[in-house]
Amino acid sequence: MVLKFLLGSAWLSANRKYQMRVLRFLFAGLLVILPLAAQAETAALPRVGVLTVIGTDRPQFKGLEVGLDQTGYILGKNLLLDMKQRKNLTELELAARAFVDERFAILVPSGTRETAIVQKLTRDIPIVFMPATDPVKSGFVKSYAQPGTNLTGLSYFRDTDENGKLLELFKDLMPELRSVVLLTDARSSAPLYGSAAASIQKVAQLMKIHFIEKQVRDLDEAIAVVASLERGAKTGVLVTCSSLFAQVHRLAAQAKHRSIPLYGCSTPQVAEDGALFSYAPDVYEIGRRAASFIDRILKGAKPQDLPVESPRRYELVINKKTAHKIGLTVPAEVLQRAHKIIQ
Amino acid sequence: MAKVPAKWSSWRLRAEPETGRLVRHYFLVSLALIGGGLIVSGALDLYYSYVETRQQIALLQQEKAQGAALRIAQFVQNIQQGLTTAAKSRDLVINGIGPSFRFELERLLLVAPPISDLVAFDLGGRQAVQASRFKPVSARAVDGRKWQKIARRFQSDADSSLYAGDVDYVRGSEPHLDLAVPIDEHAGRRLGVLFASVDLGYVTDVVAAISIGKQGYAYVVSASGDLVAHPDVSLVLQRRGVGDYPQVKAALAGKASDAEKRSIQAPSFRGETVMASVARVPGLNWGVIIEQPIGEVYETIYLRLFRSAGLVLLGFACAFLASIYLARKVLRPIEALRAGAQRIGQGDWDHRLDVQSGDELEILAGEFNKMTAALKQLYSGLEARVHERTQELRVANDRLQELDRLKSQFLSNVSHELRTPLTAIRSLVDNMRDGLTGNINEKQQFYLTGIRSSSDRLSRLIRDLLDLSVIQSGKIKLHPSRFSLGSLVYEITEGLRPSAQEKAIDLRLPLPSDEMVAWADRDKIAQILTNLLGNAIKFTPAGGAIEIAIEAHGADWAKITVADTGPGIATCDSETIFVEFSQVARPGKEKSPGVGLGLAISKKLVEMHGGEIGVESCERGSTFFFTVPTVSADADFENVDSLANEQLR
Repeated sequence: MVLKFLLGSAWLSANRKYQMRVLRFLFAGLLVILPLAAQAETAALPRVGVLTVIGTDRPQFKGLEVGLDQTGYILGKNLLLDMKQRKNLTELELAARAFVDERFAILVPSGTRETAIVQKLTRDIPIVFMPATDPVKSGFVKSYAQPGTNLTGLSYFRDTDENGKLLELFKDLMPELRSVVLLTDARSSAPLYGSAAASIQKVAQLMKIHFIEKQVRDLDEAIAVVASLERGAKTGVLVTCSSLFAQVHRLAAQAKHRSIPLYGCSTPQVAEDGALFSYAPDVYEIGRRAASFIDRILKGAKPQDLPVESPRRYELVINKKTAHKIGLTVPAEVLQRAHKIIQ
Repeated sequence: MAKVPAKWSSWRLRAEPETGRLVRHYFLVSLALIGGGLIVSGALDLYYSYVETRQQIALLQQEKAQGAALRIAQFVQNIQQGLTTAAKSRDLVINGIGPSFRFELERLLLVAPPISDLVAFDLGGRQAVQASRFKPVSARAVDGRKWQKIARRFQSDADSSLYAGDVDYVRGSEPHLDLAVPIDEHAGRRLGVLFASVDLGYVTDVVAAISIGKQGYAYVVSASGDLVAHPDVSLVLQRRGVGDYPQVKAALAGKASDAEKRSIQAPSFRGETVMASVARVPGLNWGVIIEQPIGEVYETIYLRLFRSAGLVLLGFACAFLASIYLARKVLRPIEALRAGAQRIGQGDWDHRLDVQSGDELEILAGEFNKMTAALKQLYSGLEARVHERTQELRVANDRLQELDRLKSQFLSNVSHELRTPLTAIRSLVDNMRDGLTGNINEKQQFYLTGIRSSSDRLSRLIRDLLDLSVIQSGKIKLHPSRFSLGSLVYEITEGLRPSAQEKAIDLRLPLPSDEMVAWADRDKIAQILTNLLGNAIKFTPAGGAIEIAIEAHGADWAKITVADTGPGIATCDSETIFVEFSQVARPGKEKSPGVGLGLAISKKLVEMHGGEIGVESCERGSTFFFTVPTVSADADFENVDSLANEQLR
């Protein structure tokens, strides 16, 4: 009280020039301190780095944001979510390395190959894959129940055998299917794709469908493969879902042009890009569940103790417009089983 | 203001109460009564609150547990219903269990998301039709033995409509339940069995939707004690075995046990202590457990505890204030009584107590005022009577003093007047005896001697009367001097020895061991000793003995004792024998000559010296004594004079 009185008296008794000098000094001080304080506040927040080569507008990322919100995180307030979308895996690795160097709290790769890249960069930063196919065969975790590594997350297909289910569905949609062409990513050295191809091949043999595997290096090569197929040859095209086929609309356009039914890896690839059908886990739900992993790890849980979760909900999406375009009549029983039909 | 009687003042001092003691007493008693009541009622309220809250929470938990168990049973029933509906499809009647049934199964997969896989097979384990949510069924072999085992169970129990297997953890992680229903073409004809693998992840959705308080949760355990569903999916996917926990054991106990009717306090998987209630899922050997952290359970109790504690504290504060108010209210009139009593005790008789408490204290104050008024009246009357009696006594005393003065004057005058003619008589008799008036014969000589003797005696009497009158008038003066007490005694004794020898009395005077020096009027001491020794000689029969002794009596006094072997005296009443004109009666003796003034004069003289005189023995002879002030032989004269004068005063 006394100090306040004395300061007040001193201020009033000072001349105007002196008062202006003090005010300028205080203002300059504020300009310096405020950004530093804001930076310090931001730096203290846990940082989560998301890595993807597909669009961050895809459902899993929306699901992740919604999930974090439902778990009580407000981005920018108590959590920093840094989403890095890169055109290819090389650039993605650079981004991932930057995250590792900056000691991000958690890395969230979206996709099996993306996860494999991040896995090589760090053995201590928790990695939540969102999602990854068959994480055990991929070498990400030791088991579903006890991952035992710094990786955990959500599986896409529980195992590569589930790829065979796609061919069965293809056959249900197109009972006259005689042969199937599987486009695989030639750049991938993961044994996973071989296993997936083997699963499809096995089912093809049992169903007496001619199986052809084509390894392609890029999308143009894939389009060229489709373009080479005989129009209306009762042939279907399957793809192994990798970043190579992230932008599938050109391929789908070519397939439609050739009246060749094409499998799409996700609902958007069917609904927006024009693939015939997809049967895949609900990636929005996968993104939403990934938020739970992030939350538990930030609260102290170890990724090696967090069991891998599998998607429970798979969606069958059929693009009836595409079917119509390629002259395919989808059986009514199959349409009944579809979760979503693009009219 | 009247003078305060000393006795009352001392009483007032003794009765001074310890200030504040009564206030404290009243305050503490009031506080103890009110506060104690509050504490007891608060404690009882808390206890019953605790018991009731626990019961309410346990009841709520049990309801939730039973509700959850029913919902899980409903979940299974829904699956069963879907299976049964599929098993009764018309396609089966027409085509039997064949490829066309697959579309029915695919439709079932669509409407029943928890079902992962479906297998329909005939009783021989052949013609299996499969549908799977995730797997390619064309490449999948059917375990015919397993189906046949289930089929036999249905055959052995025709009424059985549902088979529920053990919980199977797919990939060691995801719990699945095998369910099967019979496929009947019509009643009595069984075609096969429809088997379903149910993803129990959906049961987790059921239990996760159950909320108990803020932190309470429900979970389900299988008969083997493995977690089937838990809000924390990780625990389920880890296939956490929890069969050793007390609440799980209670939930899996053989039949609906008492555990379902009460709550259990036990540790949870997370290590915290929880309050748990259990229920069993009808139709399955599963248990549902509701757990709530004990901290949250007690939160309500703590809330009540704090509220009650707050109320008790508030009550204490009120009790505190009320106790002060009560103590003051009760003590104010008592304090007024005390102050009033003090003022009256100090003599303010006109003070009246003003207590208007409207209770017994006011009555007491009224009675006190009445008592004060009565005391004042009594005291005033007493004073008047004392004053009156004092006046009467003063008058009587004045009259007596006047009479005494007149008596002394009379005695003095009479003595003086008698001495003059007596002296003339003695002189004339002596002249006649000396022959100045011629020869006198023997007979005349005899008569003259008698006259001379009687006149001597009369002269002594008159002298004694004069001495007494002088003493009583206060005109006598002492002339103290230092003298040897032994010498004086010796001188007097020797002077009287002839009279003793006449009666053959042995007069003993032992030599004093110490020379004692008296400081007194030598003549008066000699007169006293002569009187006592004369009396002794007078009353001691012939051949008797008289012993005179001098001894120290304390530091400053000498005691002179005269003991004879006479007949003694009838009474040892010193008050009587030392009174004027009273003669001591001697047993067997006639009244002695004299007027009884010797001892009275001696007493007066001894008292003038500050000493004492008395008789010690009166039965075997008489022993009289008196004390004389002494000084030490080598004392400084000036000091001795001042000291001795002090003593004589």
